[in-house]
Amino acid sequence: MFSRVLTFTIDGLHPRPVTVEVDIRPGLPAFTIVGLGDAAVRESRERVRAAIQNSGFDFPQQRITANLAPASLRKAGPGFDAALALALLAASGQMPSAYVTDVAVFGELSLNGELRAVPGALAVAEGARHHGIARLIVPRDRGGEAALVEGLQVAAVDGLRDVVDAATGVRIPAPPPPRELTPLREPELDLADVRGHQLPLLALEVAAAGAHNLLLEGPPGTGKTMLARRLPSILPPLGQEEALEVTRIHSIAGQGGGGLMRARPFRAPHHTISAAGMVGGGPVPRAGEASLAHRGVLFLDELAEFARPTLEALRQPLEDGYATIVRGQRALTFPTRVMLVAATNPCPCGFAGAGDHRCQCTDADLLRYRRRLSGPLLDRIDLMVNVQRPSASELARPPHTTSAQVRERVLEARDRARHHEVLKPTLEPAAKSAMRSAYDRGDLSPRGRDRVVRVAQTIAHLHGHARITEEDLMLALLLRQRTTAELPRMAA
Amino acid sequence: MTACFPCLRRRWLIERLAGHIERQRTMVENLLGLEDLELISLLGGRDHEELVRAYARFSHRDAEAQREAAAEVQVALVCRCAQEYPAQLLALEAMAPAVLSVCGPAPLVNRPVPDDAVAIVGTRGATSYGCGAAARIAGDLAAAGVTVISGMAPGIDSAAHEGALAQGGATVAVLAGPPQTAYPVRKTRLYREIREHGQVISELGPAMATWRWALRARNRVIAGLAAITVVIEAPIRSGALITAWHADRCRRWIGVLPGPVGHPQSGGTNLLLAKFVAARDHVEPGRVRAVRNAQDILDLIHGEGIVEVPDRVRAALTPGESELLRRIAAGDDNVTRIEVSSLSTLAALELKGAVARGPGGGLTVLGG
Repeated sequence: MFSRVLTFTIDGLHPRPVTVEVDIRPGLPAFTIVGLGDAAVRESRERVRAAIQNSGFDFPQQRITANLAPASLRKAGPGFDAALALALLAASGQMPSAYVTDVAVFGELSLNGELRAVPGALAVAEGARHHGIARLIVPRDRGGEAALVEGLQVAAVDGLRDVVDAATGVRIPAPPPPRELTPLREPELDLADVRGHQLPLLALEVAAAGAHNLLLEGPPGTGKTMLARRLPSILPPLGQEEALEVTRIHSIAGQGGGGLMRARPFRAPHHTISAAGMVGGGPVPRAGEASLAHRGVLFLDELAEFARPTLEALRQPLEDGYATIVRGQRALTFPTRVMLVAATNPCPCGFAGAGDHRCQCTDADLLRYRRRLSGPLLDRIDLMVNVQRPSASELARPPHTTSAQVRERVLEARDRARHHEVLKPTLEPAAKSAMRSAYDRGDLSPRGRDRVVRVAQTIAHLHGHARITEEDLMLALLLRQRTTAELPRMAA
Repeated sequence: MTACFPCLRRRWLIERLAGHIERQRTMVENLLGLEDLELISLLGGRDHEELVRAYARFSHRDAEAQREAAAEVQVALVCRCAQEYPAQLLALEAMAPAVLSVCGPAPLVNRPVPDDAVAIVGTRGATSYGCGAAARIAGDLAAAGVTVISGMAPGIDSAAHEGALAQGGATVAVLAGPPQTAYPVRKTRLYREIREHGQVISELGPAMATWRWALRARNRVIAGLAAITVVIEAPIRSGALITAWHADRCRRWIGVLPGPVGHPQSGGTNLLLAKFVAARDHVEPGRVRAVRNAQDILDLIHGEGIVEVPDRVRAALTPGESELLRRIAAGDDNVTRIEVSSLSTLAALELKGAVARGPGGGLTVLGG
């Protein structure tokens, strides 16, 4: 007897249909799975056998061969359990096999027959709709996530018996309505918690309005991380398409899942992270931190401590907005549209510019330290701002602003930017002459000049200026990132 | 401009004895003050006989060969018997270098270093405070038309040269090795600029290597050439303090920039100010002065208010900018302490070169 059931596997970030074929014929009892499965797939035999028996079905004492087609695609993980069990039941005549043609099943089985969640339900649901499947059976707590996809009937079930009922249409348990998974993290972080730090707040606002990458430079413990964590709260909320994109990535990575992610992600990987961990990779390529931060903020604390290869690996993804990982004959693409926020100490001891004379670093130390950060990655960071300890009186004062106020300004600025998109940035005459004299001083490279103009354009949008005024440009000059060449000969 | 036979023979002898001098534990300054034959008998050792013979054999033809070798690499020679020899160097008495090898552009190379030149010296491991001060003071001196002398070492020396060059001023680098090559090598770019706009001076010939003793010995040339030696930043054991000690022996001024107490890189300068100890030896208290800026230095050389540092920056400021500059000078010296509405004014101050921003956002008022 033969039957087939459709399921899906995740290849990078894309769902790929897999047909589970089961053939049962007389012979010595055996259960073989072919089709390039990994260890989890081989172990699936034991789970399926126990689950079938513990759910009150019979496990046929015959020669069973299962094939996962296409046989050329490598398959990993326990997500084939449910499909294997269903195909086996159909092949052994314990349910009418006619019903398993326009249904897809996705989930891992426990030994007592319960259906367990597997990462990537959203991507699988999208794949199911794309392939014209009428009904998708998923574990109960992934029902909400799968139901985000419209035009697909989702059955959210608890165990193998329910899978059979849902496949035959006897009982189709409706999934819970899609949840909005606003931050899985702490309660909303707000700029209203910030005292002092006027200049960094300004820089955050400009960075958010123009999606500029930002470098925070300041002594330890002054609030660099605290400020960076609040950046998502002033970014525009994710649109529906963006939210689905973010949810899909996180669901596949096994982080979050079960509902829609509305908040922009904030990722702060530790500095020991490898290049593969940053942009994605591994034997079975998985999304890296840069992809998990897609449409959100990637925060690199202690930038100087990150391994060089890790930072170098970030360059192309930051520029292009995606990372392509090649493994054997396959090339997988992971989106990496992030805002990069990096934090660093100003010097090896960390106290430069603190006002007292605690910093004992020599100029050569400073240069060496800067050189470690320097290079093409810094080239992609438009804004640099110093963060220093707020004074006692600043700490006692009420906060300058709230996230809601800033976000409103950011949204307006982005709106204006959208209308200006086609026009080249134009400078008022006074701004033009200021730009000239700044360039003539020799501190700016041509690329640096472009960056200053870009930032000035964002500031003009924030201020509602049609053209870049002198003040906008001056502010941009102040917020620009200093190159290593500019650092020496500057007194602390 | 040329060098006479006895002086060239003297230089030949010192170059010939370079290895012997390196092995000596006595102070190199004292050795260099000895007569030719005294030097041979003191340092000759096993080679004594041979050295005496070679010394006697040194001929006019050998001297001419030296002159030709120098001319080949565009090095001008001037000996202490010549009129173009900087007269102030003779204050070193017997220690005065016999021959100076000079590199520089055509009109400058034959002009002796003016006797109101200022030496700016300090540690290689300088902090931004020291480098900033050195560049600023050198720039202001250059703007006032004063020649700045230093040794082209990393740190303070380079900052001083760069500061003077940035103002289009004349600057003199005194090297320990041959004058036609850059030492240290990574200062090659600076070397080229100095050679184009100033002078590079050495007491050794073009064929010599850079010996350790020569690095110490050239300090006396720096001190001897300058009307005042300004020590910017120096730890307790620093070559810059040797320069200061020589300035004392030449009866010149010693200017000292005070540094933060307890900071190792300012340990030597603060000690000099408090106890008049330079290079583990006492100097005459009357010759040591604390200096804050170029004006203090010019007042020491020429007398109060005779030569003024031109105000390059302040003239160009708007009232708002001057106001902010006063605030920064009064203590709001970090960019994070400036409120958002004044930030574009601050950027204008930076642009006009009135303020520099350092690591950590520290602000320094320049030219004041």
